[in-house]
This record gives sequence, C-alpha cells and structure tokens, in this order.
Amino acid sequence: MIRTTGLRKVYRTEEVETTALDNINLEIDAGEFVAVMGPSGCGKTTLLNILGLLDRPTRGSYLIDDRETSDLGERQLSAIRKTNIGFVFQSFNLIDELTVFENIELPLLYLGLSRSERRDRVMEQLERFRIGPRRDHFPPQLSGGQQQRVAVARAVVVRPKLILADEPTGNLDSVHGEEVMGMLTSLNEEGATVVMVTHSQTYAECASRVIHLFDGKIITENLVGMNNA
Amino acid sequence: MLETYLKVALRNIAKYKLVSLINIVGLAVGLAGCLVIAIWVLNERSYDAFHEDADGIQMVLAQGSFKNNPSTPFPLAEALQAQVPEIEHAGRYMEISDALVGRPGRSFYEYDIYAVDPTFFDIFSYEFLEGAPDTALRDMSSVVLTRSVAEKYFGQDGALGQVLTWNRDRDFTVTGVLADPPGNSTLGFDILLPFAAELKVLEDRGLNCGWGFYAPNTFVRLHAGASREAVEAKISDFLIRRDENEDAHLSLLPFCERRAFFWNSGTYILVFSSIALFLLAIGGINYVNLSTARSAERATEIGIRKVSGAGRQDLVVQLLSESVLQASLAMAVALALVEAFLPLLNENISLDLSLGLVEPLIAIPALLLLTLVVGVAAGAYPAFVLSSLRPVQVISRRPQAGTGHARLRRALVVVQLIIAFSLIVGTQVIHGQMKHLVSMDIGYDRTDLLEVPLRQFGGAHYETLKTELLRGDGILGVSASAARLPYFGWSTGTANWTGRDLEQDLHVYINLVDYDFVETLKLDLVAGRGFSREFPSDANGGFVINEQLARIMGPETAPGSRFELEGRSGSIVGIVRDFHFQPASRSIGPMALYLANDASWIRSMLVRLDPADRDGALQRLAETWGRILPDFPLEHRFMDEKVASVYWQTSRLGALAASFSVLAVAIAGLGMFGLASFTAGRRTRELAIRKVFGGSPMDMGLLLWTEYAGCLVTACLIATAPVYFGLQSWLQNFVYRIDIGIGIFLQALALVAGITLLAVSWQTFEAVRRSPAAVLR
Repeated sequence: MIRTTGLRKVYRTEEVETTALDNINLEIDAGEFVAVMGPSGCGKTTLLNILGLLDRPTRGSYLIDDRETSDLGERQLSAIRKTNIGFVFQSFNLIDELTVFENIELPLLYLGLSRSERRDRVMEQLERFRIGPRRDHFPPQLSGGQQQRVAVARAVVVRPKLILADEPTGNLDSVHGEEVMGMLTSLNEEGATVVMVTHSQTYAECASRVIHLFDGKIITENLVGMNNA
Repeated sequence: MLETYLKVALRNIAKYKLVSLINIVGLAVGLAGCLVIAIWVLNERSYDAFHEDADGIQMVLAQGSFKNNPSTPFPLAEALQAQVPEIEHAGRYMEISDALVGRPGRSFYEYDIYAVDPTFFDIFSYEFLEGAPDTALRDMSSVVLTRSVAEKYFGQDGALGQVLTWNRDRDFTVTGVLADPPGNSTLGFDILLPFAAELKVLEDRGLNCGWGFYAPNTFVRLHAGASREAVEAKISDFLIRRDENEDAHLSLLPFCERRAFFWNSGTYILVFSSIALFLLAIGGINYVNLSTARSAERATEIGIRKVSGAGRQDLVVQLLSESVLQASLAMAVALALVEAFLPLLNENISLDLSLGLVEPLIAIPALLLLTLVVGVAAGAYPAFVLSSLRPVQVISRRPQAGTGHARLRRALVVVQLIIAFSLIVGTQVIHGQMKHLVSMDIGYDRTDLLEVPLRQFGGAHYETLKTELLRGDGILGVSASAARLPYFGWSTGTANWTGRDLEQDLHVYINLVDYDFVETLKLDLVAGRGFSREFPSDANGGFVINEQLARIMGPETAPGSRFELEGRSGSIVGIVRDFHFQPASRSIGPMALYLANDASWIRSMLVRLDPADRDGALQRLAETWGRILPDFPLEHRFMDEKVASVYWQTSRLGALAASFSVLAVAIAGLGMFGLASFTAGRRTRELAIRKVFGGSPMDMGLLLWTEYAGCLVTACLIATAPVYFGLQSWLQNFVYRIDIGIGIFLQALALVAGITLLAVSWQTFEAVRRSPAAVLR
C-alpha cells in the first residue's frame, strides 16, 4: 500500500541545515500495523507527516496504492488525504469551538456528504466509541481519554484505508492509553492499515512490525515477536 | 456547510468577545458614517426632482461683472418666451420683504414671501388643495398659501376666498392653497403673490424695473425634446443683441442642479465623506490587524481542518463568511446608530434626513452589497494569511513565519495613526477657522447693540421712536439703516471724484443711514466726523466712507474732498476704519454711507443699550414700541447673535467634524488596545524571564511601548507636511484666516499619543503584573 524510496527531508534556515530523514526506503502492506520508534528528534513525526501527505519530501519517491505522490498538487494531495487517510495526534487536536458531534462530522463535511448520511456516520462512531452522551459537549469539557476517543472517531469516520497515529497515548494515563490502543488494534483487525509513532515499547508490541529510527535513518525493522527482520 | 461556518463564526465571536466587540464597533461606526453620507448625498441629489419632467426646467443666469448671477432683468422672462420657440413657459420668482400678515385676531410676521408670474405653475409642479393654477395669480390682489400657512390663519375651515391683510394696509384674497412643498425643494416659499402686484409697488416708488435692473430669478421650461445646450447657445448673447451697452451673457442652469450650485453642499459632503471613509478604513484595519494577530490562536483549527480534507478555498470561504457575519452585525449596529444619531445631524445641518428617504427596493440590496463588500474587504487578507498556514507546522507546533504579518500590522497601525492625526489636525483647523469667523473683530462693538426691523411699516414712525427712546435711561444711542445689519450688499458703479480714472471698473457698496450711525455702532473714525444735524449740508451731500474707498481714491482723500454717488454731489465728512459689512469670507470692499432723506428707505433701527441697564432698556423699548406701533409686534435681536447665527451651521458642522475625528481616534485606540493585548500575551514568557533577571515594570513597559511609539512618530512624520500644506491651501479660501501654528500639531500628537499610551498601557500593566512563577511553570 505504501512504498517510499530514497526519501529525504531536509529543513533549511538561513544558517542551519537539518536532515530530518535520510534515505528512507519503506514498504507497508495493506492491513499492516506498523509502530515507529526512536528518540526525540529522530524524524518519526516528519516521516508520519510525509506519509500523511501533510509535508513533502525534499527528495525521493512516495507511492500510495502505486500512485506517485511527490509530484501531485496541493488539491490532489488534499483529495487523497480526505478519502484515504485518518489522523490521530498526541494532543488530540480537536477544535474547541465545535461540539463532539461536529468534530467527528468535520471530515465528512469536506467529502460533501448529505446531512443525513453525515449524521448516520457520526452516530455510528459515537456509539462505537461510547461517547454518545457527550455528543453536544465541547472538547474542553471532556477528559483526555474522552478527547482522544473523539479524535479516533474523527479519524475513522471517513473509513480511511490508512490511519496515522502520532503518539496517540502520549497525553493519556495508562488506563486511557490502553483503551486507545485497543481501538487502534480493532480498527487494524477490521482491515485498516495503521502507522503509529510511539515511545512506548509496550504499545509498540501491539503492532505487527516495529521500525526504529535514529538521526533520520531506519536502523532496525522488527516483526513483533522476532528479532532483526 | 455555510450553516456550519456561521455556527463556528458565532461561537468565535462569543469566545473572543473583546476582539469581536472592537471589530464590530469599529466597522459599525464606519458603516454608520457611510450610510449617513449616502443618505445625505441621495437627499442632495433628490432636490427639486419632484417636479414633473424636472429635466426640462432651467434657471437663467447672467454672466456679467458678477459671475453666475441669479438675478436677471425684469422683462427677460416675457421676452424669452416670446422670442425663443424652444421655450414653452418662462416666469419670474423674486423674494420680497418680510411683512406682518394677518386677519382679525391673528397676525404673524411672514419671512418667506415670493412674487411669481402665473406661469410659475406651468413650470413647476405644485399640488393645489384649493383653487386652480390657471386662476390662482391672475388678480393683482390674490395670494396663494401653502397648507401649513393656510391652517395657521384659518385652521381647517378652508382658506379659499378669505382675506389677509399686509402690514395692516393692503388686502389680499386667498385664491389657492398648495400642499406643503417637500423638504427637498430649493424654492422655499410660504406665500406666493402675483409678480405684477410687486412690480407695481416698485414702480410706484419710482424704480425703473427695466432691462438695467437685475432682481428676479428667471426660470424657463423647455419644450419636450428641446436641447438645453442649443437653447443656451441661442440665448447667450440675448441681452447684448438687445442693447450694445449691456455686456452680460446668459446661461442656463438645469434646475435640478440649483441646490449643488448655490448651496455649496459639495464641500461639506466631501469633508464628511472623507471622514466616513476614514472611519471605515480604521475599522477595517482593526479587523485585519486583530485577525492576523490571532492567526496563531486559530492555527490549530485551520490545521485540523486542512488535515481533515479542507482545501484552501473551503477555508477562504469559511473565513470570509466570518468577516461577512461580523460586517452584518456591524451593519445592524450601524443602522441603529444612524437611527439614533440622524436627529442630531439633522439639527446641525438643518436637513430632514431619514433612512426612509431611500426606497426599500434599492436600500435592501444596496445594504446587503455594502455589507458583503466591507466583509470581504476586511476579511480578505486575514483569510489569505490563515488559509495559507501549513498543517504540518501547526500539527508539529513549529512556529509559523510571522515577521511579514507583524510588519504589515505595524504598517497598518501607522496608517491608522496617520488618519487619526490628520483628522484631528484638520478638523481642529477647520473648527478654529470657523470660530475665528464668528469671533473676529468686525470693526465695531456688536455687544449690546440691538437691531430692530422696521420693515415697510416702521420707517414713518422711526423719528418718533428715536426721540422717545433717547428720552429715557439705559439707551445710549439710536440710529437707522436701509439695510439690515450686519450685512449689506447693494452696490453702485456711479461713484465719482476729482481725478477718478473712469476706465477703472469700480463698484462701491452703499447704505442709507440716519444721523448718529457712526456713534451708535461705535465705528472708529480715522478722520473727520459722523453725520451731524449741525451741518445741514450733510443731509444732501455728505458721505462717510471707509478706508478702503479712501485708499482707492488716493492719498489726497480727506474730509472735505468732493465726492459724487447715485446722483448726489457733495463731500466726504468722515472716514471710518474698515469694518465688516459682508460675511468675513469676503474682503472688505469700498463703501460709502449717506443719509436717508426719505423715511420709506429706513428698514432697520439700531439701538445701543447701556450694559448696566440692559433689561430696563429692553423693557423701555417694548413699552415705547407698544405705544407708537401698537398693531405691530416688536421683534429685535442682538447684533452679536445675528453675526453668530450666520456661521451657526458652519460652526456646528466644524464641531461635528471635530467630534467624528475624536471618534476615529477612539476606534483606532480600541484597535491598538486589542493588538497590544495580543502582543503582550505573546510576549508573556519573555516578560516573565526578564522579570526573573531583574527587569523593572518600567523597563518592560518601555519595551512594549517602544513598538507603538515608533509607529506614532512615523505616522506624525509622514502626515505633518501634507496635512500642513493641504490646510494652508484650504485657508487660502478665506480672506481673514487663522495661522496654523505648531501648537495644533503638538496638541494632536499629544492626543493621539495619550490614547495610544492608554490603549497599550493597560495590557502592558496586565502582562507585567503576572507572576513569573505562574508563567514559567
């Protein structure tokens, strides 16, 4: 489903040049659950942003479903993103001015679905993630766990093939962290491809494969339960 | 989708109350100003348009030694109608003297009496409530009233056929009652008399109302299809062809343009339109500045929307819908402001403007369009900035490159300050000049000087009044004049003296006065004396002239110099220091006074009161008048009030402009207050660290103020020269003008600086006050 070849990302300021990713060659099949690990500043989030089409590589090729994305325009990238990719962030990134219902509904608005279809889909997610009673609350009125449940619901409401999660448990206690991991696992079992950045070895073990980054390079790739793939 | 946008927009307004308030108030005040100006302009343009086929009505102007002279020769109208086939109707319109009009038990002074030809009703469209246009002014003793005047005298009983008496000696029969003309009419009459009747009065007094006497206005109605330009070309030399000595050309002024042409309302409209647009610009700049300053706060939302699939276009539409919503709320507030403040404006400009003046079918789409334009204009740049945020930077919390926007914000603040500073200086100078016109020395003592109109009936009783008044205490002097001071405008080209250069075109202003005129007014004598009964020759050949005429006559001029005027031959008895006998916008011209030998010329009595016994003197005047002229109510006015009343509207408009400029500064101040709150908020951490390392509140205050002080200094530097030269050029329109000193600029600077400091200080104080422990935790 995903293939990167020679992916490189360099950040430049007037005086400093920082290589965030260097020669990343990666293949992820549909239905895989991949965890990306590594110390702070190793390029995990940059990789996730490029995979999510939020950022462009400086060099290299990135194919989604065999379609090269590096030469696509902003509008085309946006079209792929809104139909295929769901995002979950460490800091939830919910819009404070929208209710729970409206936050989940947000991606559906940009898909141009009818009001009734949007409502049905949002209701389905509210029920699935057990946040129905909170549908009219605003994010600041929710606990961290509840907020992340809303964020996951928003990520999956468009039924994306790919879910990108950037330290989804980073701001949660262990109970809520496990709850979110349970959700991602079950989404993966239902067929979604999941790429998750995490610092937690425990949660990484939920994945089928773990990639270790260091200074912008992949240093190891392990299938969970095996050493040195 | 739009519904969602509006919902979010409303929630944002509720969340950021202060910013929203500043934005909405700023835009509302600007919009209210624009609405008022729009109504004002529409009202000005609507003047006289209510007449049927108003485009066919033209006013004849004479272009001779006086440009655009609305006064034309008496026989012109009839001759034009007879000799120019394109002219369907021609008629005259002339203001005549105030009169005491009455019926038994009900008398009032009437001020707006006009004499018109019967063709008046063929040219203009007035609705007859009683009587008929064909017969209304045929008879010499007929009179046509407006409805309100008719009701004043006859109530609801019907006025047709009733009799009204003029100055208690002439009777007129009401032959028509007209519906009150609308407010937007330049022909402001209450009573119409037959022109022929007035002509007879003038001719009976020995005046030659021929081609050489320019007095009535002449109006013509062209045949349908006739071209104004063609008719104008045809009549241009009409007077010259008639008489080789006559050098006045004729021109035509479309009647609908009469208002703009003679009332000079364009200047006021220009001044106030500029202020309204400036107000709107300041409000718009607030919106742009506060929205871009808030971009950091909204970045997350924008980023998430982009991640969720929003294209840039979606975000632009969303952000513009927010600005249009704020503009709509501002428009609602603006309409309320207009409704609330129009009466105040109407009072100042003596108009009757209202929102109802505009047809709803035009007003509603126009308001919607204006709201949309203002909303999009204010929101375009913030929408561009916010929609260009890259989601990856937002999501990864990397700072956005914001220097460019900060620079733009500073530039916009400078623009606001330039506008505020210029408005304050400009309106202060306008206001100061108007005050100067009212309060300047007019050359005589106008306090405790009373003007009592004697009109057509009082002249004969003047001598008795004077004798009686001077007999008692409290009245220091009494004199009289043919013209009603403070102004007189009759002029004559007949002045002559030994050595006069006859090639030189000279018009001398004249006034016929009584003995004691110089003393009663307290005019300063430069040489000679005032008129005196001790010199019998004064009555037939004495002249008092002003310094200006003496200068023209030459250095030899002195009391005793021979002088001729209006067929009188005599000598100069006195020369007075120049005094203002015309509005102070004009320079003082050459002037001569001579004694009125015929009491019928006396129309105005001047009474000098003893300031120590002013009330007693007024009472004595009332008693004396009541005894001598019991049938005529006494009217009088102090000269200082009369002078002030001439400039009343202008000074009120000046004051109004000054208030608007303060409002502009206040709105700019609100914007800076909002902006400062963001700056302070953004720099909270920096301030906390500085505080930990020993920064005093004063240091930190200075740090935050420096940014605005720089803007202020830049604005003043940019604005000073253009404003100074612009105002100097405006002041050239006045003969007597104020100097623009540095003080006025310093005052404006102090005011703008004060408001800036106030706006910024509160936020600075708040930021500095916060405990570093709380900020740096």
